[in-house]
Amino acid sequence: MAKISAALTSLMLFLGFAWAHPLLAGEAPFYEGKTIRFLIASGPGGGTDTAGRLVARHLSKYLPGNPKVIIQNMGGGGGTIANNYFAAEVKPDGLTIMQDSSSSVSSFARGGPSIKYDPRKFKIIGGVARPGSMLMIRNDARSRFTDKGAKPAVVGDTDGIRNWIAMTVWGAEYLGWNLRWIYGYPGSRELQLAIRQGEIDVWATQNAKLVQDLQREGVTQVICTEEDRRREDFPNIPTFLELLGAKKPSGLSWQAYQAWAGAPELDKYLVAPEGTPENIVKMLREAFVKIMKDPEVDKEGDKFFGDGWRAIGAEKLETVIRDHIAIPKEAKDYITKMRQKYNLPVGDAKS
Amino acid sequence: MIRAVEEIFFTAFIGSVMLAALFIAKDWPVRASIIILSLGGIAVILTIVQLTADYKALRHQGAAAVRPAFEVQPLEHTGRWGSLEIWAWLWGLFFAIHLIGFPVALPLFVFLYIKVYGGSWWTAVVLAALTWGFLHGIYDYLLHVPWPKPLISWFQ
Amino acid sequence: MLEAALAGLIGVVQPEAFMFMCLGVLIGSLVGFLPGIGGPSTLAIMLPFVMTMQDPLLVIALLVGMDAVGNTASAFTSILISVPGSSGSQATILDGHPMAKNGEAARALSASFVASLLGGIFGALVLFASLPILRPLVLSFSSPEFFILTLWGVSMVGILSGNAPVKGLLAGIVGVFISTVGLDAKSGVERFAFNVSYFWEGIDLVLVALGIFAIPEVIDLAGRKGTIAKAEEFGHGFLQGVIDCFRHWWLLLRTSIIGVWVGFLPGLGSSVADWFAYAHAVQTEKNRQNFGKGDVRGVIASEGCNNAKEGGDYIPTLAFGIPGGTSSALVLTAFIAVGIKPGPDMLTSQLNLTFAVIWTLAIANIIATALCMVFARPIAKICFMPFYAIVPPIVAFVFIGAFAANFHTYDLTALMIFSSLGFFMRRYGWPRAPLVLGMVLGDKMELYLWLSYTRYGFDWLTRPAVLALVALLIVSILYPLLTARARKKEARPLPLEA
Repeated sequence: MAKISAALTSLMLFLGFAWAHPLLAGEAPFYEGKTIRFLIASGPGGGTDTAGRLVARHLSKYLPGNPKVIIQNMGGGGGTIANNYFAAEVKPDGLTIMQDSSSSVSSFARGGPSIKYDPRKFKIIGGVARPGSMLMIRNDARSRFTDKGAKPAVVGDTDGIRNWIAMTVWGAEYLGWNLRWIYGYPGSRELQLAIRQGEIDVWATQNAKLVQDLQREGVTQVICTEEDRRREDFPNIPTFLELLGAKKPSGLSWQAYQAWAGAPELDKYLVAPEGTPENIVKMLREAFVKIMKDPEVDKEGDKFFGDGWRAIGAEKLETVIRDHIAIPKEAKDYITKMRQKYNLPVGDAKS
Repeated sequence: MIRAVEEIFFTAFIGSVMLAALFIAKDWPVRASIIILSLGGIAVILTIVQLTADYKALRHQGAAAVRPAFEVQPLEHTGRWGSLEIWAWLWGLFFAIHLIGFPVALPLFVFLYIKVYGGSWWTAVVLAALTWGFLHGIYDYLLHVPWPKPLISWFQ
Repeated sequence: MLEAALAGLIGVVQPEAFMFMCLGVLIGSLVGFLPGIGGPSTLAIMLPFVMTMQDPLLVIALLVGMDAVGNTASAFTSILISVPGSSGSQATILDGHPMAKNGEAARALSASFVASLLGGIFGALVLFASLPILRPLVLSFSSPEFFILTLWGVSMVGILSGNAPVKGLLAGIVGVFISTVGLDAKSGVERFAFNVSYFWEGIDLVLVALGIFAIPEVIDLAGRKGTIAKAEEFGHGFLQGVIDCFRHWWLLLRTSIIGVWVGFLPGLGSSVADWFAYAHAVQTEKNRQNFGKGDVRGVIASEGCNNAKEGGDYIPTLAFGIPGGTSSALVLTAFIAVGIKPGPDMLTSQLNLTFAVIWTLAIANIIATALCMVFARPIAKICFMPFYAIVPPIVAFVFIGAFAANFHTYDLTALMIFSSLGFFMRRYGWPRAPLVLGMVLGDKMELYLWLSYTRYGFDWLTRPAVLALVALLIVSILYPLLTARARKKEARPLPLEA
């Protein structure tokens, strides 16, 4: 009898202990012993890849549980392929996240049958915004810039759709800039070469170091910056808004400009799949904020993006994305009209 | 003789692809289509020239086709089915990858092929194991290649 | 200058730096060996590791070491199994693989390694020699000049078609059409994309090369049910290959020059270099009927060129921070992270680092060649293994490579389609090289013509550099015709002796 009761007691103690154990020890962190798949919606190299890897390198440190992080590039279609895959195939279990960029929002806004995702449905974790583009002109073309009688200064771009082109078009329309546009260059590498050679006269880039080099070597001077306030690293350069001054248009024209130029906060951002549980999203967002506060991350980011890049919070990004997609049709039509007027390509990715 | 007929078909196939491309491109804006239209036009003419050459070869009872420079004439295959045999294997592998996934299909393919054509058990197992190791060691572990999800996934 | 050169040399032969260089060479060789995994993916993987390194010399030793030798080891697969390991070794297949089939694999391999070594060193030398004129050199080539260069490439299509000019030209045009698939920047039109986003960025050259060159050979081997080599191995093949390189030193020099040029011009792309070199060899060498059947000169031309171009690649990278391709773009990122600032500083305050790059290019090539030579003979033995042990691994290799290039399942379908195309082209006597060349050159030709026209109207036709290049182009086309006629005249017996 004593033996049975001893056995029963031990059994009960054991069961009680087994049941209570997780409560006693506290929940193990969700990510402990797990691996996060960090997708990058572009090929290696380039802005999206650099931004993604910057975050990925520090993610494990700031996520409770310190999971392993594996990076995978998935380029193609300007981010479309990765986004389609992310929307269709990735499970919302917090184990896969993706580094995305503003081009996927633009592609979605333009629409088309190959877009099978909705950026508004993804859970935003956080983003980085590189400082806005700086518009430069070759020194030897400066005199022709506002002189409609002279040969127009040549603006060069990849596809003529970049955000900063809006500045040049509205500048031509309201400030009398004497410009013509050529496009088709494969990338910034060729454009860099072209502006040094004089094949193009006007270009814009976010790469502060490049701008400084070109300025230092006496090749170009900076006309203005894209944002709504002056850059800290270029305090003497006016913003486009300042240049417009009283001539700034209002109403539909300005709405169209903003739609084309895009929001400065929307650049490179991190997403989790639709349906990811709120507590996991919260964990990721907190980790992201911590990463961005790390002074080492700040230093590394400065090396790649120049001073003046900043972290953008998730809620702000969600609002910005929603606004960008909700552009009224009249504004889109106005943009098309302006593009046609200045001989820029109008055949958007629509097929 | 049959070879000469096949050659005509192939030339015609290339020609029709050119024509299709021309047809699609004519609706594009000029700067996108000019290269297709100009080169495509030349291609159509060249196809006609080539077809006449092929036809003449056929008429002369398939006089040996001039072997082009830098091209080695493929040898005749042994066995009744000629090259169909290896094509069957290749397509088999293709579908296997889609059905059961890379990590299973590839070593399986290696193993089966060696056994079917008379290799020893030892060779088959070792090479299949090496294939598997290669797949996982370099492409999976080191490079984190995301293998696509196969249709039948209980092998995962 | 001299002390910077010395400082650079000392920097990279320090034990730690040298170790990193060896590591870089090892990784670079492995990467060159594997199809589908190119410089970009590996560099991307190395990047986080490299970021933690503080010393710029170590970064240079590792990354430049890796970058410089990708093309050396890729000759293994090109020669032995007709699988292009990297874009630089495609032309090597044309003569390298027939040599393997003739049992001369060891000769082909040693010739290719020595040619790669000498070419690579030559590239480093040219980089050194051009330091003072680096910047003006890069600046003198803009869109009109690039267009003429692509025309030169087009003339190569004619050469590579041999005696089937019509088929060759058609193949070239098909190649150009394939290159137009995707989003066209200058008009915003998605050409031949049929609403499938897979096509937006165009069709990958790696897939086409694998399908067109590799699979048809596999089919051939599987059908023959024999071994790769159809003849006994020649005893002294290995040494013979080395001797060949020195015997044809003039060809090697010329093709290395071509390699450096193509590397340094950021507009042309590195896949073009070996085709230019190969076609040039065909154009200018005597007794050219052996090309394509296993002529060692074909291997020397192609391999000598593709290492030289790495040296040329660094010229715009160092001078302006303008990388020649994705790999140099990543190397550049790493450089910036470590504090190496490309630009005028490279020629003044950071000259010792520039020299470190040059020295690494040279030394890494030596290490890589030594490594490959050691493995050449044992690896060449696979030419005598039975087909059932060779075919499956090759097929597996090719399929993985096709998928790993971009991680798209559609790539496998594309591989099957191009394999079929390659198979039928081979079967019906259509030259395949022009197709690849057309693909590589097609969109560049279109792009530079378009840019030249929109920017300059028709004025660009009279630019001095353009005229000079056109003159060179005409000479290079006429020269072989004239020499052929001269040779025919010599061959005609004199009337007195009839």
